[in-house]
Amino acid sequence: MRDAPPVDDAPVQDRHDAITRPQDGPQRAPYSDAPHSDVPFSDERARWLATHILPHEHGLRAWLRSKSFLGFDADDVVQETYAILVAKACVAGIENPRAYAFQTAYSVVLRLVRQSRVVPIAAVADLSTLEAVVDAPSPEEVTSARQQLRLIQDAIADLPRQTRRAFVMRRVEGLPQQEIARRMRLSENTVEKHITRGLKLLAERFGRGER
Amino acid sequence: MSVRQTAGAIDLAATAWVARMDARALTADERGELEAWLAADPRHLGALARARALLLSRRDLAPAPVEEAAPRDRAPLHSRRRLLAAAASVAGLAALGAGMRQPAARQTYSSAVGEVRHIPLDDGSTLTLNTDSSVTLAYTAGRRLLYLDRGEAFFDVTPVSDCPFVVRSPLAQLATTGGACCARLNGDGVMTVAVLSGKVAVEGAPSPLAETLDRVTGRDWTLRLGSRDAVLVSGGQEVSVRPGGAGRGSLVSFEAVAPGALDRALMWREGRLAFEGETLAQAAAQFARYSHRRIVLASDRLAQRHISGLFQATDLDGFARAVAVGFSAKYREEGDSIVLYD
Repeated sequence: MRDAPPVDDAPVQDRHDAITRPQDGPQRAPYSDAPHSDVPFSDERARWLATHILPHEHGLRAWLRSKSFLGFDADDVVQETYAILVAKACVAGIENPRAYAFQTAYSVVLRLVRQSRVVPIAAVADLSTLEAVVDAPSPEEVTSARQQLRLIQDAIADLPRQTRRAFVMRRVEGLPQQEIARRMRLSENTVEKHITRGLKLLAERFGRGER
Repeated sequence: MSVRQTAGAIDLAATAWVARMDARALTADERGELEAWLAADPRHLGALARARALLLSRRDLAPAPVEEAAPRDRAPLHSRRRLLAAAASVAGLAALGAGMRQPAARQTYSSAVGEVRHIPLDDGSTLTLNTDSSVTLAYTAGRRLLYLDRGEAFFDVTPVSDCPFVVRSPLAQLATTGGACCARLNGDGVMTVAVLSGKVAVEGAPSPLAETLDRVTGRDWTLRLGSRDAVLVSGGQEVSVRPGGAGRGSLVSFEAVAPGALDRALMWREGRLAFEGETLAQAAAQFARYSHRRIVLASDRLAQRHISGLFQATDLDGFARAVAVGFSAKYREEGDSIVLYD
């Protein structure tokens, strides 16, 4: 039953209880400061992804790019990998998230390659050696991960002033958007647009090492 | 074939959704839109998850505050519990909410083919497993949660205040405060729930997408407030739950129950099968659940004959003998089968 949904420790509202105990209102995680209840996964899982997967995304992309002659798009694989990881019922048993992410991506690649009509002849031989790469991060991987952090900082610094201020307040200082709107004397709508823009930039650059 | 969206376009949509949900709660329309967007392509959920993770600030990533940090000078456990109970009675259910976050110890009970197991539970309730069945218990402070993994189970539920008894299966969820009911996952993908006493709320599983979203949120799907699908089933009633078809949630419908039918159906708790006018084909199918051996009806004429009577569920030979005598048929053993023929 290890893979059963981890429902019992979920600090979220339980709609069933509303039937038998109508006075029992929705509960929210004690540390959530924004109305995340519509996000289709738990804050807990988002934190897990941020802590255990994001740091390896750059390495994962580098590895995927080295196989791109197989005819798949690394971005597609990364997005599908995140989808699988976020939809997984339980991640508590994953001891090595990096290896797990690589293996998940590998399974996505396999499927994409099998689905594609034309499989390069080299692909068949190469697929069998894919797994061997999933060991520990190489020194290059660690170094370039550091480098790309700097790239991201540079990118954020290049944002238009208002966008940068709003985004830094949200992402670095952890202020809720409402509070940012108050401090910047902007409408909440405008702040949301700034956050979207900053986040889009981060999503584009992060892990890709693009300039 | 539709044009595939680029990863960049997906990222743009995902970041806009994440920023919006970060700003405020979605409207009902937006929620529907988001569901549709997520359903359109698996990459959408991935991009959404990634964008959400990217937006987390250092403060969000700090270790979550541990509930009940338990300083050493704390009162002994038993008096703390009393305090908790007092708090619960005064402040309603806030304290129970905390209890519900404690991960439950899970325990699975299974029965072999042909076996009927009676399992007394700690809360005073009784669980009875029919042949080849499995139920997993995941009790928490505020809820007695069980999963019907396979087969059929009878639940005799002792009321415990503020602690509903909830049974889940892939098709439906039942909830009761007390009473007796029987839930069965049939081989044909249909689930039946028969209520002997008390009231049981039955809700069909939501659509696969809603289910995925709930699972991903760790919320699991549960009875939704005001859900049109939730029905209240009283003693003597039976409902069936079937998959609703592509993209739809389960459908719950009431079944006509003949007087005495529920009691007969529940004879399995004593290891017996009771028939009243079933065809031999139906009876043979029932016996098949309790044994690795099979009863084979060699002719349609025999298969359509009706039978009444009480039989030991595991005694296929006794049943075959009774049929042979009652319908002047013959029978022979062939490997694992007992073949009845004219």
